[in-house]
Amino acid sequence: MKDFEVPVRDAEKVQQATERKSSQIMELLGMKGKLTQSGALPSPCSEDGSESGTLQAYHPWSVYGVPNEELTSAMGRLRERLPKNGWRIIKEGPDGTASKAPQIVADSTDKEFSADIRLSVEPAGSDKTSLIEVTVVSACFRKQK
Amino acid sequence: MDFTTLKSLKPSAYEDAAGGYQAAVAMASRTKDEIENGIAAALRGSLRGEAAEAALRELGQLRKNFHYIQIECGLVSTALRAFAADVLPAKRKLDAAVADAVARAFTVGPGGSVGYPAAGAEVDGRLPKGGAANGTTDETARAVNRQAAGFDPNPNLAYAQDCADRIASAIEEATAVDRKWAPHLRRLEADDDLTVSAADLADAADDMDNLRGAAASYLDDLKAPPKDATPEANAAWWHALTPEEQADYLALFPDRVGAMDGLPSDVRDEANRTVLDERRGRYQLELDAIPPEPADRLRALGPDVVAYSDEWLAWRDKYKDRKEHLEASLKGMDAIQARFDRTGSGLPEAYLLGFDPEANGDGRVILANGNPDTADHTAIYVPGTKSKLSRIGDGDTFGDLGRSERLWATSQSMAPDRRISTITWLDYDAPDDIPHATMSSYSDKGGPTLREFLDGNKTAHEYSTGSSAHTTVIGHSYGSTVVGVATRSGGMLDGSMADDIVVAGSPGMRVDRAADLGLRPGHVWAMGASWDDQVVRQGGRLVGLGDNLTIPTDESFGGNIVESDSTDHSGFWNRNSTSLRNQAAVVTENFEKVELE
Repeated sequence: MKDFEVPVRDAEKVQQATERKSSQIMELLGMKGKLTQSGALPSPCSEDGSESGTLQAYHPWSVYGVPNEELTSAMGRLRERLPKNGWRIIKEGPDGTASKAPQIVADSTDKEFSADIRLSVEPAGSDKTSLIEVTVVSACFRKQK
Repeated sequence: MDFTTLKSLKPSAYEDAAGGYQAAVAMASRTKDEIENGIAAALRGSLRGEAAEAALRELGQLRKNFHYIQIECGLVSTALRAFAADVLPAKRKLDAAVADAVARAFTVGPGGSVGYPAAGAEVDGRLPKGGAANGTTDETARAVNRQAAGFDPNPNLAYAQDCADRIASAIEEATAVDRKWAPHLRRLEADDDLTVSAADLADAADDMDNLRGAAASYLDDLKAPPKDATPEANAAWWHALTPEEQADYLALFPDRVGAMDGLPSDVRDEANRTVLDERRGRYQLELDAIPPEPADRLRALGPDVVAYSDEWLAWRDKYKDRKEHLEASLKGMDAIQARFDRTGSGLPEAYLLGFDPEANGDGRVILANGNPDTADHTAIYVPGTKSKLSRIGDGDTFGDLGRSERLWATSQSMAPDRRISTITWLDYDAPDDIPHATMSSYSDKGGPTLREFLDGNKTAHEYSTGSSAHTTVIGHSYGSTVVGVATRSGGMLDGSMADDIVVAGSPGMRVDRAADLGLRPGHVWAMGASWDDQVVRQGGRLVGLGDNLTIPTDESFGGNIVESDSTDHSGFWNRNSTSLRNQAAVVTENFEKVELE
């Protein structure tokens, strides 16, 4: 979308809407676990990352602290539920990294949000914790002054 | 100040009072932190709307009030301790003289005169009579008294005169100390309105300057900071001070304490916040005092010919540059304050590790998200061309400060059970534009400064936890050149400068191979920048910012080449998100999660 076609939005409202989408994904995962505390942050959309221009809401978070099997089945549950809950799956399968993490990329059907979900299962004895990492981003907009 | 006053004066009472004010400092500091990191943060994290905004404004004012209390009580505490130390020698002198008099069965009168009994060899069957000696500090009078004592058959006179003279000296010295300190203590009386204004903060800065002069001798007795100023030496010095001494240095020299690499982060933060508030007060006052720009800028010299008016030219020559500098500095200060105000809406506590609007030409600002002294993973981000204090938090996405905040959130998400700290480091004079960026002098100066900061980081972490954090240094565009020079600046500590180095949009790092950066193999990561400055990268190559024309995204450099494109994703995922994720993977030691090209 060209810069001049980008809509003007109330940044706070977009941030809240993005956080609501994250909450929805958490519900669709259907599990209890520890959640990172975070809010959606404004992030540049434009190529030059400059201060005048378009931005989007960017919300990275993860759920962890449960056994690997629970994480894996939650990921499967999410895959099933997303298409029935206003999301379109764009891509799924191992991501392009050495870890080959199972990944789901989805866009909301109203074309306002994208989500990137990755499952990271650590072997027993690892000092890292298994988790599901979720990043929800909003469509680009211009900030309402 | 007279004999009775000095006799009953207890320097320890002043030290106790200083302790009381110090307790007030601690209380105010805790409260101000609680307001920012607790109450306001929670409010921001959960409520929105006009009422919440109004409440946050009030809280901001309250925080400022407590900070002012902290600053001023710190100065009062130091002043009282310095007064007590200054008056102690006089007090001791007086007490010793009185003790000597009493030991000889003399009496000391309320004015300090010393009465002595009859004594000596009998003359005409009578003891030489006693009397009273009045002390003096005047050398001529003393000489006369000595002569008189020489003639007097009563040996007590000489002793009594000596005691009385010592008492007189003590009172004179104490009077001088009293006269020196009374005005300073009176200055520290606060006005009685509830608003802490720019004038109040500017005043606090003046109070501090005045006290530095007055307390000079007291401070000389305190152990002075080391001259060679390595982070290790600084840390050793700080940790050897008593809590009172630390409080005194913090109160009187926040600008120096805030800039000392190796000191604990919470101490540097405390110091720099004081500098921030005081400077803002001073700069705002100065700006308010500048007369408005004359409306008539031009005058006609004839038909179709105009020139600048004399009035405008005079204003320009006197004020324009200073006004721009003040406004730019205040803008940067506002950006820093705005970051403090973002704590709680998805962001951790902020630590101002460095601040000086006058440093490096364009200002210094070093700001951490999360405490680096206790972090498991620390990232230090070095911005590139055009970076300056006034722009540090510019725009809807908060500029360079915002980048570090997003990196923090992404890293925390990737390593939820670890403590993360991301630092924006601007402590070098960044070139203003690409042509200037081709000059290596900027990085030649910036590199060693960065190295010292990183060494200081390590030192502070060691003192705090006994171990070190995994450290990643991230250089964007010209910042990466500074990073390259830093790796080759003599570090005070053994070992490599960092565990991992990430460079984005690098025009060259002044080395031609990753191995020359001194890191373990496989720990140098290079990516093109989201803002795709091929011009910078290739331009840097051509003017030799990379040795042998090699820049880090060349395969021959030997670093990991990290994916920067986002085509493999969906609509709104962009290069920024890809780059953030890859940087976070390195920062959190999740190397298998990095997308390589």
